[in-house]
Amino acid sequence: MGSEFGMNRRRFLRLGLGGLVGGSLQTAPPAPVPRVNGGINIQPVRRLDPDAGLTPPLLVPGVVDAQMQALYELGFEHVRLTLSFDRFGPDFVAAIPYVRAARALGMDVLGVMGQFTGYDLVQAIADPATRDEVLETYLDIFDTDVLVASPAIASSGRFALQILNEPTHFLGITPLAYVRDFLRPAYYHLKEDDPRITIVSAAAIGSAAGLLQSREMIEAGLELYCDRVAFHLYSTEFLEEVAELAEKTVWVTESGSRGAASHRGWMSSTFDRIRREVPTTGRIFWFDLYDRGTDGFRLIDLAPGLDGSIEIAAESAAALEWLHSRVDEALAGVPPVPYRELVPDITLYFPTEDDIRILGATSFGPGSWRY
Amino acid sequence: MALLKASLLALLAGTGSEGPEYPLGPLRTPPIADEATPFRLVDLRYAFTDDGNTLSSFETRVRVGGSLFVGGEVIGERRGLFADTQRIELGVSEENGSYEIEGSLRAPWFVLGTRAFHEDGEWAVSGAGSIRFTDDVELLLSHSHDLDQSLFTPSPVEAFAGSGILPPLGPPSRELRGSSLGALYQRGARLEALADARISRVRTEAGFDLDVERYRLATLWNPDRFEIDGELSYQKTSGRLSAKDFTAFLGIDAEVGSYLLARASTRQRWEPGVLRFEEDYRIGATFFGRRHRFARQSEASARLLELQKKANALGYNERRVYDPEGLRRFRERLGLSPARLELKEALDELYRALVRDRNVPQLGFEIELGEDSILGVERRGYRAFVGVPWPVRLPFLRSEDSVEFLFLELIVRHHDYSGGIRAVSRELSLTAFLNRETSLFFHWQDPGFGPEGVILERSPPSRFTLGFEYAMGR
Repeated sequence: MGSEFGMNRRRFLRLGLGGLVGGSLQTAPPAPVPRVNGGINIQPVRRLDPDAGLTPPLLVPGVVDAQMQALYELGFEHVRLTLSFDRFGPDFVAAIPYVRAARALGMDVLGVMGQFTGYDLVQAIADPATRDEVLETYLDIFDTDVLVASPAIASSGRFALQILNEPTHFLGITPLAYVRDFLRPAYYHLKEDDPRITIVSAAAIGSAAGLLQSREMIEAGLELYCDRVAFHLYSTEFLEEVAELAEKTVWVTESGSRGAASHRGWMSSTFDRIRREVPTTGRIFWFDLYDRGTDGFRLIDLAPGLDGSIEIAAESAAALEWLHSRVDEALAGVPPVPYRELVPDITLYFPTEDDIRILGATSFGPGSWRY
Repeated sequence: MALLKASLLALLAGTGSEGPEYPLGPLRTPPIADEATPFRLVDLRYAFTDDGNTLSSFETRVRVGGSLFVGGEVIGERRGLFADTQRIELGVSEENGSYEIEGSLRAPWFVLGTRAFHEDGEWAVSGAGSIRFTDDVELLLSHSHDLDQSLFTPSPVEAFAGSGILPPLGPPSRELRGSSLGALYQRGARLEALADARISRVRTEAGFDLDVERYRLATLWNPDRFEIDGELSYQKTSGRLSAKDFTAFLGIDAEVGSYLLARASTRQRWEPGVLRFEEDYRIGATFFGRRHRFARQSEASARLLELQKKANALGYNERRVYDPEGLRRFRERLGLSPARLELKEALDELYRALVRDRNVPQLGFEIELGEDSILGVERRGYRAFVGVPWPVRLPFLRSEDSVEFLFLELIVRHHDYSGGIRAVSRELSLTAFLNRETSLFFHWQDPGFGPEGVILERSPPSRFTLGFEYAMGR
């Protein structure tokens, strides 16, 4: 299996652990890469070809593995990804290994209860007949205990759930309707099933309009029905306003700047400025690790290698170097445990028979998948 | 029944006619200052609405003797009774256990009105008044106070776990208390200016309070062949959701020739340094079958000015108003006054002038474009109407004898939501004016399939209303 997913990551590793391992103190016992670099968004990509339909393979293990390795080696603490409802179809199932592997590696996971396209999820939440089933299934699949990948990892990552993403922008749901008809029922149902789960509100779009939408959501009682208030900050223009809005801890669930040349500066100084000017900020998630846009927000690119493997290319070299340097500093010369030792086979985190049984028992299923 | 029958017969007969011809015959001058012996029907409205649920509404009002109107209404579950004299207006209504009591007193130099609303064991009271300095200048005051100061706290999850029923929502954001002070200046008929300030405390749906200050300047100016109305307001919100925003409205009506009126307007809301978050632009034109007259430049406006001065000299404390319903109330109050016989001729002349000054819209359109960034929606709307005058002739022909008869209006609006959904709403209405006071109407509305409809997989129901209206002296 290892050779099947054997990835050509030479260009990526040269920037980070590859060099570090050679120069480390060989006498110290290896330690897992410390989680020191905050949060990041990832996309639960199924395949690299853009039109990933229902043709096998539904999920290419190497794509998951490559992103997990990057997350681990770059020392991210928190991961945010969309758990696309997809009527519990392939896009939903694809998120399972991402969530479990990240948690096994000690990263907290914030799952966005959302859907890449369509209104199935909001229809299911709005309908009292399906609401409980859908919310419970999310918890049954993602909010279960995960074993750490190695005893050297202190604990597995925790799971939190964000209720929808930019609901006015993507779905046309008004801020008031979001709080009343989606966040509120989701909060009660989820907390009933797991009182310890952290519920994160949706963020509005990261623009001036989004600031005004956030204001409407707060006025409608958003903070009564969540544990963390989310914002998307793609500029520093409204930090003062954001600081005044929320009383609860703020999670900046998306922040970043377009163009690789600006990434490092944003991660270092702008993130600091956000924390300084919005003192209630708990977590900031860079947007994003990988997407299909060039010279946009992604830090790495993924490409099929000649041998069928997945190659990671450093897209944002300065930012990656900065992230690696922070990891190096935290390691203080201790050799890191290689990713492959922790995750010898990514398919260990793939959906299990139990998962399939749970999903199969819902009123949604292959017959209702829409492609 | 006898009363109703007698009134309708009198109405249909067009007694005292001296006005233009309507389908029901020539228009009479309504006996607005005449004592009723003992009753006279002055209002009768019935409407039937169906949008999946049916709603009937019925309103009536009669004049009793020389100085009193009494009336009642049944609108769905709402039942109301009211009585008006020239100086005192009282009303009480009940709907599903909620009560509303209203009253006002019109004294020679001030008007004081109050309203109390009782729901769920709590009262909300408000008062509004004005002090008249001259025929042209009034000081406007208002205050409201919600005696329910309770704070909403959501039910704990345990309560939901026990019942499985989602706990109720908190009350929507509401004004706990508010006070305003303003001044209204009317210069002749052609200029009005209003300035006011309101300070209020708002309890949000979330349970925290906001202090809101609003300052407003508004004007209406009708110099010659055009009319400009504008308003600028500034609102400052303090507290958790602090914000400063402006709202501006500007509308211009311009006569193009004698029969065509063009109109353009815009409304903008913006928060300086943040975003212009609401925009609305409208443009349209109307062709009239008779020579168009602005209400403030007509013969009636001159008579109104004169009559208001006379009324105020008598201590009746009246403001000049130019909308049809406001004018009707103005004439009714003077028709109830002790000096009604003295004012009768002037009241009748004012009515006849209003009839002579009538506008008869026959063809028109309006296009509107708008955007609301908070709701994430862009709007395009089209309105078109056609009026067939009486005596019946083609809508693009002119005649000074014509009156409104049939009026057909169609409105189509496209709402493009951020999520990619386009909702198309349609409205169609047809009104038949049997005469100036009596009309039949039909209205149909299909609200369109917006995000809510898509999410709930339910098309919001279309709605139609059929109705009849009789309003004596309109």
